[in-house]
Amino acid sequence: MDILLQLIGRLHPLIVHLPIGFILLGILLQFYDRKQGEFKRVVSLIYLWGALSATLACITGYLLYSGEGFSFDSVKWHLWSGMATAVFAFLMFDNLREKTLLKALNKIPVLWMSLLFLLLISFTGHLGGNLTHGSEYLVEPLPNSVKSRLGFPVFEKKPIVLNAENWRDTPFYEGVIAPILNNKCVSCHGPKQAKGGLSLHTKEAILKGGENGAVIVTDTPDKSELYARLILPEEDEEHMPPKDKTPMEKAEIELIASWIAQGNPFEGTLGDFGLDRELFLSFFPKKVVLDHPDLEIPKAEKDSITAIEAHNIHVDVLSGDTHFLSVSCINKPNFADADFEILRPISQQIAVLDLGGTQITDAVLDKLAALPNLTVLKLDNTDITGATIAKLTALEHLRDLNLTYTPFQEKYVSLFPEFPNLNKVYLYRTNTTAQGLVPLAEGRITLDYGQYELPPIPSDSIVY
Amino acid sequence: MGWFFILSLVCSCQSSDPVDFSTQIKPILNNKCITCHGGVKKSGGFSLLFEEEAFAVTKSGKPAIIPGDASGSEFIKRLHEEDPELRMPYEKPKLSDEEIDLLTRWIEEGASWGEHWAYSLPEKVAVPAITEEAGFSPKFPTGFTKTPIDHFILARLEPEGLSPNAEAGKTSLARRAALDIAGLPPKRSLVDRFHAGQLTYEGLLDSLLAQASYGEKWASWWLDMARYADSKGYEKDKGRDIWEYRDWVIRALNDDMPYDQFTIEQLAGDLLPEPSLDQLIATAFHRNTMNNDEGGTDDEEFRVATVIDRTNTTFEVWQSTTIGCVQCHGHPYDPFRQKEYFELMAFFNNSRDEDTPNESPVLKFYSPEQQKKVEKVVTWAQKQGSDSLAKAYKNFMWYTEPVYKSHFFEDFVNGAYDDHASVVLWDKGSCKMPHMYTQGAGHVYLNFRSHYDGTRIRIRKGSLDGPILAEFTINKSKGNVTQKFPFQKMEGKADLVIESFNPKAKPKAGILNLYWVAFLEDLPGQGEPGYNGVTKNLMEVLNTQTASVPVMAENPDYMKRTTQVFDRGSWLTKTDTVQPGTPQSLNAWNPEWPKNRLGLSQWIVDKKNPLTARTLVNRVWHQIFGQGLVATVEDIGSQSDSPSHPALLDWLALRFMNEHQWSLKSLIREILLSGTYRQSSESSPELYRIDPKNELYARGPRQRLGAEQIRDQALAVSGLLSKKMYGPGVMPPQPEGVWQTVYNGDRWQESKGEDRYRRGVYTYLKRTSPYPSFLTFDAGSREVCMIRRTVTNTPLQALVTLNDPVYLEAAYHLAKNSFKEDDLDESISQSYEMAIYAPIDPETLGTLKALYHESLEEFGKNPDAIAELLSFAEHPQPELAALTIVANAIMNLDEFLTKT
Amino acid sequence: MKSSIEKLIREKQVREAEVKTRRHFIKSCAQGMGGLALSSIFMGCDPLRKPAPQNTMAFSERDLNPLSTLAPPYGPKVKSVIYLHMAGAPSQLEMFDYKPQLHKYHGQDCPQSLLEGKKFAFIKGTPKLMGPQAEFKQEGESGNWVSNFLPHFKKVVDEVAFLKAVHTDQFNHGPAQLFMHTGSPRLGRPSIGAWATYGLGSVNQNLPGFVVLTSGGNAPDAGKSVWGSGFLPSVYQGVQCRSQGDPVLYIEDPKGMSRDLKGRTIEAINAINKKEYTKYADPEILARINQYEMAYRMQIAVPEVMNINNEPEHIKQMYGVAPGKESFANNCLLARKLVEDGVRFVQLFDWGWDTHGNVRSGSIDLGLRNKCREIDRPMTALILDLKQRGLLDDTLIIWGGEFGRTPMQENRGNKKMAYKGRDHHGDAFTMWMAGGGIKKGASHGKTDDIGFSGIEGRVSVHDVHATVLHLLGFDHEQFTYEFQGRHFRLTDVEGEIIHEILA
Repeated sequence: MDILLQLIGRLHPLIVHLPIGFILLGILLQFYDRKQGEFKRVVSLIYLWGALSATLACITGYLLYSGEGFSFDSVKWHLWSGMATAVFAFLMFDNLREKTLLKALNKIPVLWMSLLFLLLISFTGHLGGNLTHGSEYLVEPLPNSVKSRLGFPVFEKKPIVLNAENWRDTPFYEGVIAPILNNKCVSCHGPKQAKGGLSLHTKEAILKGGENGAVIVTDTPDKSELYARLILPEEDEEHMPPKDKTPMEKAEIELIASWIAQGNPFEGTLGDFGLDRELFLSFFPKKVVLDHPDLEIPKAEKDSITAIEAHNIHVDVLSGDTHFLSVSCINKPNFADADFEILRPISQQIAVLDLGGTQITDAVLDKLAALPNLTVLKLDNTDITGATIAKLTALEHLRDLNLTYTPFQEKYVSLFPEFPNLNKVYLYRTNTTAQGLVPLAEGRITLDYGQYELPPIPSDSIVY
Repeated sequence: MGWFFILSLVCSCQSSDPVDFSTQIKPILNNKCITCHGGVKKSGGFSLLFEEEAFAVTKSGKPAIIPGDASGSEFIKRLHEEDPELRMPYEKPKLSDEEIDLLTRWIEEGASWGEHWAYSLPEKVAVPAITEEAGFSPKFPTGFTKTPIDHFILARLEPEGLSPNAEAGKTSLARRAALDIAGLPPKRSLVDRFHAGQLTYEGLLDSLLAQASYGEKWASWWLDMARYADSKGYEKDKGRDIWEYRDWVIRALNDDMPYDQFTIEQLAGDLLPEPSLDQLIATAFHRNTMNNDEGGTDDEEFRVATVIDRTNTTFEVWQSTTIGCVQCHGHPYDPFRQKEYFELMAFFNNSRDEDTPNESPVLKFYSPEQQKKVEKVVTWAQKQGSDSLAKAYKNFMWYTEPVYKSHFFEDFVNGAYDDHASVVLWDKGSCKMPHMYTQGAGHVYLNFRSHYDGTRIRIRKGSLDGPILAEFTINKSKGNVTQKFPFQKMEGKADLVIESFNPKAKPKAGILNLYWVAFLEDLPGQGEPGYNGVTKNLMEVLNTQTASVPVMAENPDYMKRTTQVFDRGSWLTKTDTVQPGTPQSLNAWNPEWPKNRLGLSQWIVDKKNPLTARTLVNRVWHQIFGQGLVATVEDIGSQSDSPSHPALLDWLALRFMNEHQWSLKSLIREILLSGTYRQSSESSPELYRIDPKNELYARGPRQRLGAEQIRDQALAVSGLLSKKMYGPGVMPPQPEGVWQTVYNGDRWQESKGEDRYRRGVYTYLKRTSPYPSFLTFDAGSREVCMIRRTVTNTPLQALVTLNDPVYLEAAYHLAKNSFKEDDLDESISQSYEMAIYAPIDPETLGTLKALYHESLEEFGKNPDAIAELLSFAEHPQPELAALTIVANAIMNLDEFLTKT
Repeated sequence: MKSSIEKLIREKQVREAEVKTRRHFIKSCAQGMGGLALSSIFMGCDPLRKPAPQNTMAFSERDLNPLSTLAPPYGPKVKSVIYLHMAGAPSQLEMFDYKPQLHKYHGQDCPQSLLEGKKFAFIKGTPKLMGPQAEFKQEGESGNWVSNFLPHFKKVVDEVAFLKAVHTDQFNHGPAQLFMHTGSPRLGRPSIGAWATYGLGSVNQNLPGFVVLTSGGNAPDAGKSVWGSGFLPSVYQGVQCRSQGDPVLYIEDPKGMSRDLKGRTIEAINAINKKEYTKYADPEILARINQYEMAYRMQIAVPEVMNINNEPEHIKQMYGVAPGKESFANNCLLARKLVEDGVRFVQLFDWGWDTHGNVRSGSIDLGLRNKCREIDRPMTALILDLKQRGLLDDTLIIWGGEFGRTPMQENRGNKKMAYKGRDHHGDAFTMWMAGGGIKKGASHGKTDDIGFSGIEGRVSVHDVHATVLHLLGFDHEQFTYEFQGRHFRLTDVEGEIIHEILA
């Protein structure tokens, strides 16, 4: 018997579509017929069918609910509204007959009623849908912005934006703690699921704590679960976040600690609490020194690279995350000024150029000025005298310049300050006299004259 | 248009038939999930390695996969998640819709957990019928199909619209077959008879298979896996006499010993009833493991390393399975559990060897008269005592086990373990010998060295104040000696304490180096005539130094080790004890088999084992065609490539076991008879693009020769190659100063006479510094099992064949042998044909002639160069010098270095 | 199709044509142009004509030349690595890790608590602690400690970053060296240099990408496997360049064969091989043509680069070289020349640091001091020389042993040893790095009062590897090689980048 009932119950998802169909048809027809009113009887008949099928739906629905062990809470609204729909269907049917039982209803304009009816059935249907497909089934495809406006929980990593200038004015909780909790905790302790009864996405929730009480003991991090759990050994079951989740950064943990130590304030900026700058260093944007400008540029043609390599000139992509190229003539010692033309096709991509030990002369510098993104330039072991070095001031990205083992002359050194981005120049074994490191242009540029020595000392010869 | 139609049709059909686990689902799981939800990590208490694990309840409290209910399965839900902390694969790109769809359908269809093809072997495989060749393709070479193999090959070629190459030219085919069978180019006479049709192809193969050089060629292949070398490895890397094993392999191969027997004797020869000397030598297979003599190393640590290596090697060699990973955790991919690893290890954990410098047990080779003495003792023990007593004495004389080695002794007073296999005791010294079993013997055997006379030795039971069981005097000895002393009989196991006294000795001076202590059940018949003679024989035999080879010997029960699971693979932290056993996912264990190495080897060669025959067949195929039917020859399992011709693999495997009765020669013969093998290896860029790896076999095999082969061939074509077989490793010339090893006096003693020209398989192999030119040509250092040599192509190889004096000498002899006064063309084409086994074409001849003239001119300008170049020649002439240059070029041609 | 192969070969020929590397342009001109002549096989090729892009072929650049370069996935900080390995394990306690407290405890028994559960190679029973046998000063602006055993090195102390608390779980030379160089104490894994060469290839087409130089009279204890290629193709294994005999095995032409003749021989070989290719269409043949070309060029380039005689006097003095001998100083100078010529990874092994106190040369106060003198000047010179040539920013220098040494004096066999010695010790030892991407003058990690184990900033061997790969432009977790159905990593399943020493 039970099986039979269960079976019938499972017909519910099928049957529900009958009343929906009938009733919608009815409403449409009714609307279409609002002026002439010729189909009244047909419509009422349709509503009757709707009512009957709705009743059937209710019964099967109930069986389904009782047979498949849904919790009452989860289904109750669907259930009630479903019954309501059935009842309402009967009313409409009755309402549209010549001799209605309930005169009272005729007072109400029929269109209003059918409108109400429409809402009711859609509501019921929607609830039903939520039960089978999950409540976010509909909103799933919507963009996060819309979703959150509709009040559905959405996940977004919240960046922690701090830098040497602004950090003091950043709100302690909103700017630092909340993002940390959001990024590392909320997916398990938040609106979606609150493991251990704990959620950490709002001030209230945090203060409320979890099933074993508060997670913060104000001013004492070590007693606060919120912190204590973070510093347990990796392999400890209690350790948070769990082994297979992204662990917290040292710095993040320290911040949580100091936040609790400060009395877990939800207002006020980092400056207000006179926190140590050290705490935030790791969040400050790192300035990475790259061998190329920080620009997006188009990829060089494979063919042109192949063509250039055919000349024994070595061309490499700097790294997988950029299109900039490094070019080396290490295998082409007879590279001469004229050969520069070979490089034209990739002039935009060249960031590192090694012409060391080649046949180039001062004349080539004029052409080099046509490499807009040149950052590192090696001219060592060549006949560069520097006569035309001024040409290179056009290179706004040029950072390193290697002139070692060239007849480069002292007098041209004074030109370097005019290079916009120059940082390091190697002048070992040039026509210069200085030795070691010499700062230039308020220290923006360092000249390395080399000539380092290790004079003999007595101990060199002592054998023990 | 029509295509689209068909295509869509195909697709729709596919999508409609049920998802197949091992081909469609398992790959996704292995690539995308198993790293976190597999043997190593079981994130969230969820693993996809074993069926029961996959459907088990996870940390969350419910199973992740609910068969039939995809939408209800967390497994699927997580794939759709958008929160990066929840979305799976974690911190990896989302799965493709196709993948997700497949997984969803799989679960909807009930999530059936199929078995991987590798872990079950079919009963029978049908040979595919082929459409009559005529209609197959106009340019189809008739008579391609020679054996059933070709049917399998065609079955795949046909749909690809490819047709096989024509048969290769007779001479080059002969060369190919000879190189594959004997590792050497064929004898002239053979080629000529074959060419003249006096010899059929079958006949050719048979005579090649009959050559002794066959065993030498295939030995190199097997010795790579057996990690055979002439030194012990690790820091000191001292020499090791184990070449008897290498010779055993060569003989076994030449006798075509059935592979099952070949397997059993190597893994467990010592456990066979009444093992022969040969069967004991065979067990040296697992004594090829490294032995660490480095000062300060813990012998136990490296004994364990050895046992682990044996376990891993056994599975790599016979089962194409890298079981090693399982040591630390369940196998990341294949269905093996960590516990199962240690159950396997238990098979190997009971041998006597303990990483001692003398490598005991070593099998002693006695001279006939010494052997007579041995027999005397044995027969006495048998007559007066029992078979078991006789066996005990025989073993003790053959390989001096079981003995208690001194590295286990403890509690030193005025003494210490010297870290070189002996305990050093000073005056008033003592140490404990933990739980010794004396077998109620009336004598104790000591192996020791001493520089002092009159050292009193006392052995007590239990502790320093325990009862005295023996007291005797030891005198100065010549090197290490074994002596026996009366000992008070006692029952059961006990700690013994040994004390040493010698007031004459300086303080802290070592008066005794004690290596081992042993007990033997007494020889009965004391006092009877002959008894003294026998005991005298015994002591003589025990003290004779002989040639020897390390062998396997099993612990007697009273020495048995228990095997425990290592926590995370560390030998220091042991957990549950395990018994010997084989992995569940493979063939069942037959209760009649003994639970030791013998049983294990029987399990391996059991015809129900799904991997043994497949592995062997696949590797032989790889030797011949340059790639396996399963491309990953070292791995047949859920991570391996799927076979290019699955049916063929199984068919060959079954045939190898059943029809061929495990005969390696028959298997090789069968493959070489196929039309597939006989094809010419010519190709075109188009064909190359379609099938770069030649997995479809529309052309014949073509690979660069192996390290040994390249040298052997050069010596062979120049007539320098020595036919001498067997014996200790030889040391052909190698550059000065290649050998550089710490704390080790061994030197590279350049061999004299024909030993300079022996086959590569006999070249002395020192693990930390192998023969350089072999290394350059991808041979390994044989420290661990090597299944396949990755073939590389480097400038250093060119330097060897261009500049190594050996190759220059070979070139000279090739030139000399084919030198015809006043007929340059003949001289050159002769050397070319001698080397390449194909007629020279005019263009090549032209190029080489040009080279000849340039050289001649050069030597004309600089006559001294001639003598320098041909330092080894009696009377060097310019023409010969120039021809040598030409020959040197020929011996560097791709065609020469390659099997085409 | 055919013609595009023609193009391909031709183009490779032209590319490989030039024999000379930058440093000996003039010289090689003198010596017959075997290589260049080769391109004449393909008459009338016009280099400027665009050849067919490679991807029309079914094989890659690497099929033709396994050492051709690949771009690292992330921005690299360095292009080359020079690894100075002190085989035998130098004593951190006499060089960099200053432990004044250890003086106090000198001669006292080592606390049992330290010995429990510990394994030592030779120490037996309860050993005595031994105070530092060197004097220490803080040097440079960084104020890092350097002992008087290294009077020159203290001048560059601000160039390097120290790791004071490296630890390894191996305490025998062989396994520990394997672990340090292959990430596993057992055999069969590729060395770090092999990984680098496999991942990046090599710029200079005339030299090996991974060169090994040894000094100290012995090869490392673990043998050639410490620069082996493990399961990677053997082309990526280190090529040992020797100071005596052929710098590379068989690099010298046989007596009586002139360069010119060798060039012509190779011409002939390649001409015939090229014809071979049209028959078999096997790219291996093209590769072989390439390799013979390269072999020819290596024969000039290698002896050239290995010859330190024509370096200027002041440089020789700076390094303190001893031409014709095998010395660490020579190897340091060679290392500079090699990276200068674009070699990817240079591995130096200096043997003889195993100071147990059993012999004079192996004593902490005498033998160690001599070894320090042998390396002090050269390694300092190496840093300065690379710096003044602008190469230091592109190069990473690593210095260290396979483990450290005990604060206790060794008592092998329960006896007092002939000389002062320390046993093997893996719990805490010092390494340093210098060059591109390294934070100058940094010092990371701290050991306890007696230098027994790290109490701050402990880093593992895997961490060191992860950091080196990071500097070369790799994510050590992504950089894998599939073998036997498993993706292998240099850092196995561990390793964290040591950011504290990165600029």
